[in-house]
Amino acid sequence: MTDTLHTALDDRSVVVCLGPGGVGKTTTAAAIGVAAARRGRRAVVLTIDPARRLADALGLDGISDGVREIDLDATGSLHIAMLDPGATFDDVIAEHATSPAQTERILANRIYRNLTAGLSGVSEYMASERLRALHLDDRFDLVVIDTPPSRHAFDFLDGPGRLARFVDHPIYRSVLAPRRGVLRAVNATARLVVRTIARVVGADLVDDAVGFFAAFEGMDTGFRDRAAEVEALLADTTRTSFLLVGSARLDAARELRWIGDNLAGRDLAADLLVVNRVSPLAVGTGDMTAATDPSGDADGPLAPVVAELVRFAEAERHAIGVIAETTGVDVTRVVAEQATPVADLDGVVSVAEALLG
Amino acid sequence: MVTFDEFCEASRVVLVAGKGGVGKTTVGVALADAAARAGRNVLLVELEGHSDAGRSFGVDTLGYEPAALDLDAAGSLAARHLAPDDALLDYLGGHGLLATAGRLLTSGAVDVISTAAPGIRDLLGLGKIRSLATEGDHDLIVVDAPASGHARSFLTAPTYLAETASSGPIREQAVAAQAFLRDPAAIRVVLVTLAEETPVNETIETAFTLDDEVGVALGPVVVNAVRSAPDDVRAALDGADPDLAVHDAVARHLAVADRQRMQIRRLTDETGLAPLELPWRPMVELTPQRRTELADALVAAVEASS
Repeated sequence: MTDTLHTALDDRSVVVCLGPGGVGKTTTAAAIGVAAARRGRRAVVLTIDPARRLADALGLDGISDGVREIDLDATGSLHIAMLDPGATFDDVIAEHATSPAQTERILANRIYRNLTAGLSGVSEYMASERLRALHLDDRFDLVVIDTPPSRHAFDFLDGPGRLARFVDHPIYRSVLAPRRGVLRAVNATARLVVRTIARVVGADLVDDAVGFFAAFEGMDTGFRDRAAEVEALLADTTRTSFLLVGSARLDAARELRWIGDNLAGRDLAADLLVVNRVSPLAVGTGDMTAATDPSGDADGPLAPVVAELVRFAEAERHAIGVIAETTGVDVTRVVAEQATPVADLDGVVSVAEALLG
Repeated sequence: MVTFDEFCEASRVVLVAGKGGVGKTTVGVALADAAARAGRNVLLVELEGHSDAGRSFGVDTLGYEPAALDLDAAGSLAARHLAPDDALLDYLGGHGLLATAGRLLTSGAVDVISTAAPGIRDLLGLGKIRSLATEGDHDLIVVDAPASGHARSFLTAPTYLAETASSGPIREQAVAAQAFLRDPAAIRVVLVTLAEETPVNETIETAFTLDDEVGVALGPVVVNAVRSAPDDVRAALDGADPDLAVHDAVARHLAVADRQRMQIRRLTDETGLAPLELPWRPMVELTPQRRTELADALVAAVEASS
């Protein structure tokens, strides 16, 4: 029988890890990278999470937008990369601008400066550019992506088309139209909408926005083409796997179901499911009640502690069943909570070994 | 010695924030529950997420209209959801632009605006919370904030937008929101964490960022799911059969409790404040019984703090 996780580790070009916060998603993404390297792949793990959790998990500080190799006993290799949206945006502009003057205009724009200062949703604009660059990089044959928690994961999945859709938008066209000298193309509704926006947010912000998008003139085809490329990559089930990561809780089950529904709405589907940080008693199918009180004293101080731990483990098993049922994805692995918190590479390696099975 | 009443009266709004998975919503719900039972009229506001705030009251979906939650309490408790687009519609209505609001939404103009100035949705959400607080229909408003990375951008949005917009209504909103956030009688932030290394690091970092960049008042940090490890349990485990599966489970439980102690000490040392501790409960979801227990534990922790 083929193991779906082994297949993904061996054959895919991209593994996207999705899940709610606090379930060990970043650790899992890193462990997938380690496991793939152990099976001979040249993996790179990209985190676009603003909390820098991967750096924490791997005990690394100060990796910026660069890529760093992790020293690992493996036939393949492992690199990690952090998305620094500002630096990526700067690179994209420097690379694709039609002239140095255009680069300068964009970098000087007030909105651009604030965009790169870390407002919500900005990192996702650049995630697809980074994914594409890593995917095309000769050093790697597998990109593992650690997405932001649940809701914001879809900002990432929608990221590829975001700037592209923007430049196709009638409003964008209408605000740029005078500069392009095609006034006749301006549709009356769009003009009205722009006037309304100006009343809502203030005329100077609209001027800045117009300046910002005007500064991109000529670059829009590139944005569109690259976005289409990434969308095609993510939609190709022979190249991309979506891995759901959860914990054995009912709220995680609801989040994962929500994620599954949203993937389906984009004609995508998860094919892998890892339930993480499960108490060791609940892993497997052994009979827990037979264990009873280890001191053999039903009135002793251990009895209530044991009863609580067993009750918790039973509830966790139930939650795992609910997750599989509501997401419709078979449980690929149940990973026990590690004896010590995963705070370094050794911790990630032991999770990787649990995943390899 | 702080009474729970004083705790509830310290600010009109309590914004509960923390890294995903630490029990932020649970703590917000427990606080709202405790305050309502202490006689206050409480509004629980959920900014994002999947309406988990109402679930332990048997309400599966929270809407824009406040729903009264069923609670045997001297006060009252209502809960509502506040999506960014709702806040935008409210704002447009308040500026006599409701007629065009629908068109703005359907034409995708909202996306255009928020792409150009991504903090706008956050700013309007804050503006809505501010107006709820000034309307004065509630003694206490408990806000379940976005998970911490996004809570930071949520709270720093006014600062960025005040810089971006040099005039106009958005600048007015941004400046007003900055003043609101800096008024400790109006709003304070309660950070929730687990006693684990990564969440504690993030809590410390967030506390300093909020203090430096936003100037918002910080309430006590709440450490959720703290395990207790009494000495008699330790002693009993020493005499137990090590081959049983539960022996390992209890040993781990005690080891976790020890590590948690260390992390709580670190949190206390680095923030200079003793956190409030809530006890670990073996649960995979918040039941009404667990909610009541946690609410009582929260009151006890507040009253035990100095």
